[in-house]
Amino acid sequence: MRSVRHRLGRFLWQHPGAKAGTALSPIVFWIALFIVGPLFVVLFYSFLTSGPFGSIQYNPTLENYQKTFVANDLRTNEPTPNWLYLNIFGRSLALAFVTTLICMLLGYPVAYWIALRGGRYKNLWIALFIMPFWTSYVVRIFAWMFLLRDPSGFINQLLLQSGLIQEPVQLLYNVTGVLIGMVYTYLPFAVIPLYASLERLDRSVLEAASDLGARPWQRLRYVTLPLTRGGIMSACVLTFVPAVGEYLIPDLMGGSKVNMIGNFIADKFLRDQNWTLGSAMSVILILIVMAILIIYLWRGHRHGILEGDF
Amino acid sequence: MNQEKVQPNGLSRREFLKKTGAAGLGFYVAGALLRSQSAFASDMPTDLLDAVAKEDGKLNIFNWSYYIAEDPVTDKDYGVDLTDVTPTIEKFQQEFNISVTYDTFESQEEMLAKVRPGGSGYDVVVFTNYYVPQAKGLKLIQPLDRSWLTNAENLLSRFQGPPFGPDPEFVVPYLWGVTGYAYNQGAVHGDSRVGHWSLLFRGNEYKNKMTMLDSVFIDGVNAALAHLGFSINERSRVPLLAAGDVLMEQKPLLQAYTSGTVRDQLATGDVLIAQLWTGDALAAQQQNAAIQFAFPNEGSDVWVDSMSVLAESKRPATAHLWMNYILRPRVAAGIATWVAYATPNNAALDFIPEAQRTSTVIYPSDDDLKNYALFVLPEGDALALRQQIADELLG
Repeated sequence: MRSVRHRLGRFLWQHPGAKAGTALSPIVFWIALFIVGPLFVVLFYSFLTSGPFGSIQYNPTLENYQKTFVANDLRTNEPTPNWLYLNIFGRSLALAFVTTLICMLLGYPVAYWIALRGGRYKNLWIALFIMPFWTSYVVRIFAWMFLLRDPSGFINQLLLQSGLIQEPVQLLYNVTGVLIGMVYTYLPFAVIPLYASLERLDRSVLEAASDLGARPWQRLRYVTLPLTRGGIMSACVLTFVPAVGEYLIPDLMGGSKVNMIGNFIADKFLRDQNWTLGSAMSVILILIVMAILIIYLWRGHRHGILEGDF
Repeated sequence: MNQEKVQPNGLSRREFLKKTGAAGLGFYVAGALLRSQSAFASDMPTDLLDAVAKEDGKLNIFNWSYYIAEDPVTDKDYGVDLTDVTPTIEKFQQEFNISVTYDTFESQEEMLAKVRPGGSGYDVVVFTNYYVPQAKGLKLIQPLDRSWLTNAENLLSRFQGPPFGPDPEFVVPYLWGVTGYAYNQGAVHGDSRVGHWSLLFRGNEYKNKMTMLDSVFIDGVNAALAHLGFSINERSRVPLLAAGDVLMEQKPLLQAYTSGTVRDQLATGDVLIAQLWTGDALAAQQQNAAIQFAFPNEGSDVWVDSMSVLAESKRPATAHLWMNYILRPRVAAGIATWVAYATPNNAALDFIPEAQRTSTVIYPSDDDLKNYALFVLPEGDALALRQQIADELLG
């Protein structure tokens, strides 16, 4: 027995690649089974044909991809670019982009304050950011709807009764409602990585900047921001990627009037029972997000800011 | 309407959890503890009981959420004492020594997504009438043995065949209702369009205070077709496209396409007019007496939710035992009373509280329903067109 173990040890010692593989194997197995596997199922389905009643026929086709880009006009029956779907892809990307931007603008000062001014309550503030996750996301979205409704919602009542507004404002079932929901949901995903990178910021560098006469905004612009770019990039990715695929918030807080691609994919699978078209749209969404990430990370890599932060 | 509780549960019955896809509100009670009890079951044919004895003493049921008597129906809360048959599942388990697993879904589409691939493990599943032909076509459900369903004679004749009885060979009607709209009496007082779809489609004064149901490809298109004077089952291209145009024009007037939250919003007055089902409108009325329900004159759909046995079920006899149990008048009355929807069981009506039985909303007259029909989900082009209309509207 001992010699087998010994020989295995020697083998792994002499082959660093195999050593890394063995050490990583549980996580590799996990990713293969639960992430890569299902994605291949989706990819496979996207090349099949949907039959009546949502049955699946094993005829390989590219039709599902074609349908995503070209559609027969409802009235003239002429093939036209599928503006409907393209529009929805565009809207999803735009909403996710705006959400990311707002999360950064709100999250960076908060993370900065906690990391540098949080004192001994630092961990408490971070815990408060994580606390909403203790309740179901659906329940929290419903709670927001109760707050935002017009005119019976708390916020509208407060504004009306304080005399700040005369007419109730519509904060729900429009783009505003969707953005409030998305920013609320994804803000912790932005704050945590920003906090982690600000926390590791070397204070002596900041002191040196001040000692050398940098004004606070100069210090922020030329020292703090560049040194935390890795954290900013992680925060952007962690906010943007799940936000593009958001489904529940447009459905509930948008009242199905500001739908995103996630809603359309769900409709294809459930309402239309068209798994193949739904799969093709999912694959396209994954490819778009991947392309954006690759460009983004590649640019980050070129600026040499990823080391130590990823 | 008096103070008796018509609708006891908190948020919406059908749709609250729909968006989460979380249907696993598993409800499991071990029947083994109750083995000592065995009641007299004269209404169950002996060959059925023999067949049940050969099965494994378990039953898996899949139904809409909040769609069975989950609590005792007491005299104090409802004005009738049906505690001998409620909570429904518990009493069934006690009497027949069957261990029931009861799961719920929030939409037919969600149910189909689970049942269609096979291997779901369910024995009895509740289908809304317009998905029954599809379930048959896909061979998801098996023909019923009518000789085991001795209590089916309690059903109203209109639910045992056309116009409102979906395929008696495959299904047993469970509860039924109507899609119409709820409105706030105070806000629309004197509007001559009440009772017509035009209130919802042309009610410019109620802009942003109106909602439509979120299954637009069925309920939205149906309402638009009826508003234009067509049958809800119209399948030709031109009328369907016209319905699509009407929906498109209506969209700016609407606050939302929703079903989950609308009951509560009607009660608070945030929504004044909402396309809705009968029972949900009544629930809103319990919280706000100004809420009324309209049966649009131009027509709409009557829907019937009914029980079927999955083709892959290994417990057909136990499934029949359950269905014949549900058909017992008092059992059916207990369920209908708790959920505040209408029972198709004629003999059950005697046990239903006065307030519900005389409600013209729960039990509309034949005259109210003269332009009403069961919706038949089309296939092929007409279905694709409905889906495209919904895509365009929501896109």
